Amino acid sequence: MHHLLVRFHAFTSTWRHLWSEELLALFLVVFVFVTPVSAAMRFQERGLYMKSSVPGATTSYTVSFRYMSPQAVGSVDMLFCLDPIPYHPCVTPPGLDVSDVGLDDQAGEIGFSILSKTTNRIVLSRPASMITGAPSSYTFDNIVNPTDTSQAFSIRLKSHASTNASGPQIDFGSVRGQVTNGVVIETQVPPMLIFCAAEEVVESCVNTNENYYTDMGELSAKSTLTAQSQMAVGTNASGGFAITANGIPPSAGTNVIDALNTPTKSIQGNNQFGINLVENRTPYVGGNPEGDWANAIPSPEYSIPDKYKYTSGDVVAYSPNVSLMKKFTVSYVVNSREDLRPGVYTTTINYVASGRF
Amino acid sequence: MYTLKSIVRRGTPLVAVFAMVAATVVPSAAVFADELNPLTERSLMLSSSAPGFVDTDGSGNSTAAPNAIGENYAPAGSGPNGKKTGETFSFKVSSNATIKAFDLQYCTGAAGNCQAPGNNQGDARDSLPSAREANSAAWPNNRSDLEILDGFVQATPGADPTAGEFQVYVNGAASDETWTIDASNKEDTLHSGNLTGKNNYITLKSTTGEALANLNPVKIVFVPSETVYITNPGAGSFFVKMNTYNSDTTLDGTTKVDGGVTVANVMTDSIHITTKVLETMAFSVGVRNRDTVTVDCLPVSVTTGCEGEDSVHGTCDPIQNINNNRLNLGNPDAEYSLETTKAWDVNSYWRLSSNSSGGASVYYSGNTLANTVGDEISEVPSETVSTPGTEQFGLGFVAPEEGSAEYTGQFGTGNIGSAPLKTLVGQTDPGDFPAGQTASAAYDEAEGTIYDDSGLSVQPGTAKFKFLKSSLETPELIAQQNSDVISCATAKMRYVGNIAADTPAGVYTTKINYLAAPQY
Repeated sequence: MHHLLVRFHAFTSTWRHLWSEELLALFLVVFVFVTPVSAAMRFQERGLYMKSSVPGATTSYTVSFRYMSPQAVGSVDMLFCLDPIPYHPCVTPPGLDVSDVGLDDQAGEIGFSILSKTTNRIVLSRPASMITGAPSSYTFDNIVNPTDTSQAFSIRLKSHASTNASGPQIDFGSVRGQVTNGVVIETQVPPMLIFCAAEEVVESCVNTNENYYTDMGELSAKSTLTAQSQMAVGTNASGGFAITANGIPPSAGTNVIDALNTPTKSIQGNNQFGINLVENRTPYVGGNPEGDWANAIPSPEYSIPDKYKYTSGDVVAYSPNVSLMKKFTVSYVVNSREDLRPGVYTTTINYVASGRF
Repeated sequence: MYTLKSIVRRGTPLVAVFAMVAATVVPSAAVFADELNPLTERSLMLSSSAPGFVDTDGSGNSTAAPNAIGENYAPAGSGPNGKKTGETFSFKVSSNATIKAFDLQYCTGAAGNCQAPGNNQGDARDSLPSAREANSAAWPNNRSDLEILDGFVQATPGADPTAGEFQVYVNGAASDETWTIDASNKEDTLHSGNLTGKNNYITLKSTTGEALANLNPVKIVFVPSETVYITNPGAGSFFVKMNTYNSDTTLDGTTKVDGGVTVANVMTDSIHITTKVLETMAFSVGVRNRDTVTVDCLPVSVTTGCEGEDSVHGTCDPIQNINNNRLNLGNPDAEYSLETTKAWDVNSYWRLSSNSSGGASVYYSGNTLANTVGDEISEVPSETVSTPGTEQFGLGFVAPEEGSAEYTGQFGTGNIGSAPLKTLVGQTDPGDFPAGQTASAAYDEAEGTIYDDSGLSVQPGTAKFKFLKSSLETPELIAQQNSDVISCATAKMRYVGNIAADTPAGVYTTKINYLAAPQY
């Protein structure tokens, strides 16, 4: 036992010569008080691009900066606050919410993913690796903008060697952004409907022959009386236009020439009054619609060549949407039986154009 | 005892007489201590009074160790740099003579044996010169000796000196004569203290010299460079003995004209003031520029802008949001509707301030005018004149108007503009736009008429506009500069609306958002 104690004493005595109390104390002082040199630098070329500045809008942000310290970076801390001062308490910008963001794109120093996110903080993480010095940018989507337009907000940025934004910072800095109310511009496009009717009109309605009366001649069972008139129409009504024909068939006192209730050919010796809006060969009368707007057309029952119809109130032409000037030629045919009572048969047909705004 | 009293009694008047004579003679003795005429109104101005071991600015950056982007604020000859200083000596001569030489000797004392200033360790006498610490070795330990590096050359005769040069001025004008300089060590080995062994003595010589008369001012200027300079001592005061000579070959008591006087200067470390300038940004968008209204008036009214008595304008007030930034575009007599035979326009403003040293970019984002069923007034894909009868919705920059009389009374005219963002074609004022500002090129011609109805039919105007509805998804850049901070850049936007006859009727609206992205 004594032998062992002597050997232990000899061993410790040797180390005591190597590690005097003074040297040990110096070591402890150095160990305790000399912390690793930190050379935190400010990120350069810092910028914030907000895709939308509408208060409260959900949008994307691109945060860009250049890492400066030639050290390995494992995480980036982004803290959204009203002011950029790192040691001030962080007041979250009212309305801002980054708790649902996604890292949509990254450039420069890459390999990051979102480690954690709260209402006003995003931590990006990657396996720590040395920076390359290239400008870097990170695009986040699903950020809800702040709502306060009276002041800017800040993103406090820090990089760390650790992968969870803990420990000493490497580089730091901040960027600022501001939401603004946009400029609302309001105007109206007035409803416009241009319509003209006469024996002859020009397509733009700037002129007509101002003749609204036609003497069709003497009725006979062996002939067909014909006449024609024209009308032009255009509108910016988004629902288009409709033209109705209104009026009773030709009559003389109580005697009325029957109107054709369905599209029917002109047959001499029958009491017939009808119209259509296309070119006919039997008899030779009328003309097809003129104009570029293909969406303005005669109604189907009034667009069959050589077949005529007339029902008061019928829509004889229309367009389903905006249509500028279109000219229609209306053909009138009258046939009569031999026993048609004599008299002066007249009628007044009114055309009414309506816009469906 | 009687004898002693007698001596005292009789000696007292004699002592008084001696005292009076001494009091009269002693002050004159100081003047006559130097048998030469003095140089008067002597001064020495140092480019820096920092100790010789200091060459860093307030951020700790120096030419040798700049910051990460290669900048520092302590070049040679600047206030913080005591390592590389320049000096300016000024004095007036007393004698009428042709002066062919000057000498300047730096010492720790005003008279007697000369010891060069400095607080490095060692004595140059021990084994010249290595026994005295070199400055490069002493600086890290906050010590420095005064040292005049060889290499100064005279500026072109008659011209002002630049870096690394010196010049002699007589009567305020640069000397037309040629002067040669020599720097050497000139200390007295009899001095009881340590000697530096470093250059502390300058001679300037000219074979022709300058003919000087009594009270002629002389100035000797040394401008340092990064390689040729004078290093300050590390602490304390020092003196410079200055003399003029009528010979350029013999500089001693036989050729001295004026001098023997001293100039003292005290080394002090610079005052380091550190502060932080944090990132700032103020961006406002609205439909009224407060600068253009009268605010000191009653009654208070949002419509007129009156804000009450004693209201004043700020230097950069935010653009005002009136009526929720809603603008009515069109004929006010027809419920603000557009017309096929006439164009209509409205205006808004934005204002940006930011201390971003990398400038900023401004974008817009929005759809074209559209109604609730999806009909749209056509965008203007390229910068095009306003053409009534053709569907158009476009925007562009125009010059903001001057402030109200009230505003100009406070701040004068010419303060409201988009600088440093160049937003108007041909814009030159204030004439210092950074090169390459072309971001506004497609939107910079909105000044002018928007229609011409002077003839038989309505014709297009002269103002041009552009608008991209794709900006709704990808904001469109309309102003940018990358080199300056943005100080109250104010832009006025002009919007134009035209319709065709087949533009579907309805109420059309859009919302244009502006985005600012500073680069710090």
